[in-house]
Amino acid sequence: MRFAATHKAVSYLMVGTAFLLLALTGELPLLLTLITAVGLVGSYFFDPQTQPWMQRRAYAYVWYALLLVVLVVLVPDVGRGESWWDSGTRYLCVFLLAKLWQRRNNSDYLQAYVVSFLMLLSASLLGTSVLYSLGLLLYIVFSTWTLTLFHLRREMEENYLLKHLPGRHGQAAESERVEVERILNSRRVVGTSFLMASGLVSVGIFALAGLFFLLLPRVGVSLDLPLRRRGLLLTGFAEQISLGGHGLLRDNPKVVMRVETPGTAPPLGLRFRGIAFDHYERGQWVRSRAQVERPLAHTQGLHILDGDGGTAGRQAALHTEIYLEPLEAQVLFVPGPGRLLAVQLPDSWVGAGQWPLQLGPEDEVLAKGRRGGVHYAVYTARSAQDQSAAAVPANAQLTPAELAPYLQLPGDLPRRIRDEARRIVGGAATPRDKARAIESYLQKSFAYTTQLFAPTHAEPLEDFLFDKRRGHCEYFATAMAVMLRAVDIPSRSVNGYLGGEWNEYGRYLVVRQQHAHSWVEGYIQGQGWVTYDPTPLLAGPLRSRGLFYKVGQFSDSLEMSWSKYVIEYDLRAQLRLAERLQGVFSFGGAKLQLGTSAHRRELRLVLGALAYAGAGLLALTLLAGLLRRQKQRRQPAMQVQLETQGQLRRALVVLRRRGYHQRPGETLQQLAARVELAGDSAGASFAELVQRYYAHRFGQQDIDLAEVARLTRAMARAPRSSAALPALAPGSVGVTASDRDSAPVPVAISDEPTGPT
Amino acid sequence: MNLRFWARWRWVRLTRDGWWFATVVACIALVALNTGNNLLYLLLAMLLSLVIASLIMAEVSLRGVVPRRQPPPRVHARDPFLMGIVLRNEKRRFPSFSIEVEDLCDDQVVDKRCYFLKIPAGRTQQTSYRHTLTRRGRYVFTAFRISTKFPFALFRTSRYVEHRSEVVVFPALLPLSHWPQALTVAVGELTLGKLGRRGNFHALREYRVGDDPRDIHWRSAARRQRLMVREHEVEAVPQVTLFIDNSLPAELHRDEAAQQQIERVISWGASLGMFYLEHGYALRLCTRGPGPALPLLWSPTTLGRLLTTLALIKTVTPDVQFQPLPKQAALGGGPLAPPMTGERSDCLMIVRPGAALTREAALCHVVEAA
Repeated sequence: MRFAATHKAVSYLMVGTAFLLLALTGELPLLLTLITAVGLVGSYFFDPQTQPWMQRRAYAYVWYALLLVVLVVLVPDVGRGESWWDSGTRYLCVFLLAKLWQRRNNSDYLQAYVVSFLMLLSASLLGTSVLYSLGLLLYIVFSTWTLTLFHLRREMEENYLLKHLPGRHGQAAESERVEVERILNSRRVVGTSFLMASGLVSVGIFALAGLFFLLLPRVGVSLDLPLRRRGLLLTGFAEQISLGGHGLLRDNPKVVMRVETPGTAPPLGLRFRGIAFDHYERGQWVRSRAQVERPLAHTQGLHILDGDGGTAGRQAALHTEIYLEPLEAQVLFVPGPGRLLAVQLPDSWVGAGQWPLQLGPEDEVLAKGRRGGVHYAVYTARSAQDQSAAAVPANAQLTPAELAPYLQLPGDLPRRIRDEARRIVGGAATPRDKARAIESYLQKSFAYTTQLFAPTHAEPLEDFLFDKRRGHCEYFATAMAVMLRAVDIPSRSVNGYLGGEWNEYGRYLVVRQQHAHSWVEGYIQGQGWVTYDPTPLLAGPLRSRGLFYKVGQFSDSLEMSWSKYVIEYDLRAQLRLAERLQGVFSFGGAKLQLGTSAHRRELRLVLGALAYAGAGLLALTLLAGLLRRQKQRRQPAMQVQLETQGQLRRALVVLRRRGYHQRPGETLQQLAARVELAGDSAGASFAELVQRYYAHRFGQQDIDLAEVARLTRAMARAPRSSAALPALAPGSVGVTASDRDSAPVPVAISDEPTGPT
Repeated sequence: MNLRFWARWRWVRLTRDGWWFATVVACIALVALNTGNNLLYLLLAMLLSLVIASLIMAEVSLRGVVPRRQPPPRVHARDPFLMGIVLRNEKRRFPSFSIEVEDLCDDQVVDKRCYFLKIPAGRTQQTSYRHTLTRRGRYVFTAFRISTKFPFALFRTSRYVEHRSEVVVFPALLPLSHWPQALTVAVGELTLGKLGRRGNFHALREYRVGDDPRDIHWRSAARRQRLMVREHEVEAVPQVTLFIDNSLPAELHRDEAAQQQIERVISWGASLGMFYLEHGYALRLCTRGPGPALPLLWSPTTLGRLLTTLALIKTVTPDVQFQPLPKQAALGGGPLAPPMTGERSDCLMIVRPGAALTREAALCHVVEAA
């Protein structure tokens, strides 16, 4: 395969993979994604070096203008609160297109590579999908090929310039230019075996990256980046909701969370409490006490909410590990039934020194300022009670003043609803019996439907209770909550998720948006808040267990594993790994005790100190390198050399202004001869300058810097001759008039480059 | 930053791209450390793996590569020459990519690099670098530095390979147009005395195209069934004695301009000596210094000896005498050959401008190397 074609193909593969990874995060607008994808593919088939219309200056100006316009459009977005990273990512797409449609030389390719790396970086910050791993593997393979070929291409373009022909007695007689194009089109430089071998190397790089990933200490402080990662929009978890929202979610398969119950199967009918509402008015639930939030005490990320949340209590409790997807809501879902005993946050949160957990006014667990997905553990009491009457976390004794908001009823609530409530409870004596009566009535007398209906009364409950007699969970929960209040039982409506989908491959529960549910909590004196679910049991639609289902389950289990073992990999997981390794390789019989929080804290301190020391050492090394270079520049001999080279660069600039470009492979002496041959008045000064430089550089002779500067000045002041454009010497390296502008002009002072004979 | 790597002879140096790469790695490490973002950790791990892979691939590329030097037969000061570099890849399976070879002269890296894009396994490739040495003398090429930036141009990995060879750089040669008119004319006359076609019989050889048919030795040709020609000895070889005044007062030994004058004197001597030898003269060289003078040089094959002597000649003080000439060279009872013709002497003395003339100068045609 031809070298240049291979290089181009692998470059596009690398850049395309990075763009695909970025697009998969879902953070790019759809239109921009489509335009970039089409533009990227299209640019492959147009070579700017061969298409005349792409070589016009106007073409480049169009791209400059486009980049400027996009910049002008995006900057105000940042001012309006948009994340600068998001805006920068969008700009990267346009910049990438500009580079690919104008790829003329190595620097264009290099810039495209840098953009692709920034895209990969963005994808790393914005995405969490398992597809990232596949994309990363592909990116490593393609980047290994690309960077290797790019290096070879750059080297050959810089080195394969001249071919020396020996003259009499071995003296260098002539040098002729080697056509780099010929080598670029050669099929002998790289072949299938090269790509296979380097592909294997990249697989090795990936494996090594995995090892590094496991070993790099997770001792960070988890600062937040100024990124706005869009989470999944959840209906029903805002400060105010209207009846009807949940019905729309029944067919939404988006995953909200994945739940594991280590060592045991999850109980049937597991419900995940989210947010609760206390104030009802004309079909709308409102959280009237949203500002009443209580920070939770903690120890190393362990938030104990109940007296039984201690070590012994936790060992007896139901342990649930929840992997929450990135959500727009800030609530942490708590599984029930059973009292909430404790919540354990990940080490990364602990390391950050942030304690974002708060207890909401309706006993919700809120993580303020949370971005992205999160993994947390919840310990709940294993309740022996009826599931429908399970206790929820709360203090069991509330004062009448505290209970007053939960007895609120709309002023215009139709009387027949109150009457209906009283009729249903009939002769029930205790609040518990009354609540069970209402729950039972609703479950048995009403039908479940997701078909929304247009309300005919001002109060939607009237439609539900007396006309339609069917509805979805929100109607049932609202009806029960209102009727409980009508019979003086404090109540509130709770939104969360009920049940889930069992994944056979990963042995965990997948909770999707379609599992969203509403239920009721009634306050029973002596028991506290008790859960009631008036919605009739609904047999969900039977899902096909065919190939697609299995593939979907397997794919989801991969996603779960990715989230569990990669995204959530933290110091605790590292310690677990170390302990397992300790079992395999017993360290002289000594037993490491790393699992306790105190040990983890000490280890974190040590590893953190080491990591920061390493980072500091690296920074110091970089600084030392810079200082050393500066020091070298300050040495007298080096200063003289640098000054001389600087003067030569200035002289070359003067010559370029006069129309003489140093051609690839042309020595300074040859250039001087060419300028003199053209009759330019600056030629003599330049020739003398070059002669002095050569004598100094290769003859160890002293050089007079003042004289060198004088010669450069003389060149600049020399009158321009009419024969400004140099004539090509017979047999010299040819640069045609058309490529004089585009030919790379070496700035570094170098003598004859060499090439193979 | 130079890092001495796992062996004494492996050097790893960050390239400019490598510095950028290191900066990016440091930044990502900092962000990953402070955010706990595991995908950033993964990216960081990938970058660190790239470093390891880069070093391993560079090592594979450098290993088993054996360089060799092929110096040209003659190197003159200030005259560009081509130094041949031969590189052999002795690995059985793996090719070597992007190899740069630098020559070390007197333990200093020669300012030229030879680049080999690809050397297949078990193959040899050759290239050369063009270089100019400005001063005559003996140069010792001690080793090679073999480097590669393969595969990602993040590091320049180098190793040194010892390979010693000496190159004697002959004095710079001057073109004929620089010579004084008197010498040019003399040369014109002297060339008449070249090898003659008629003279004492020397040998028989096979006929070559261009030989004079009158030289064909028909009897031998008939006997051997192929044309044979006679070769003749030159009847009289004209002789020239060159005195090179390589003296400089002690106080001027550190004077760059005076040293340049001496170098010019030696260049003159080399140029004239070469010219005479190529035109059939027997040449005797006499310089100031200890030891005997060179034996009589009388054919172009002895040119190397002349140039080597001049390449290694050192500057002495004026109290050092000229080397004594052999007895058989002294004609007319004196140490020097008498003038061949009235105005012109076959003894030439080349001196720097302003030099004090010695007694030998009285018998010579004295030329100031201006």
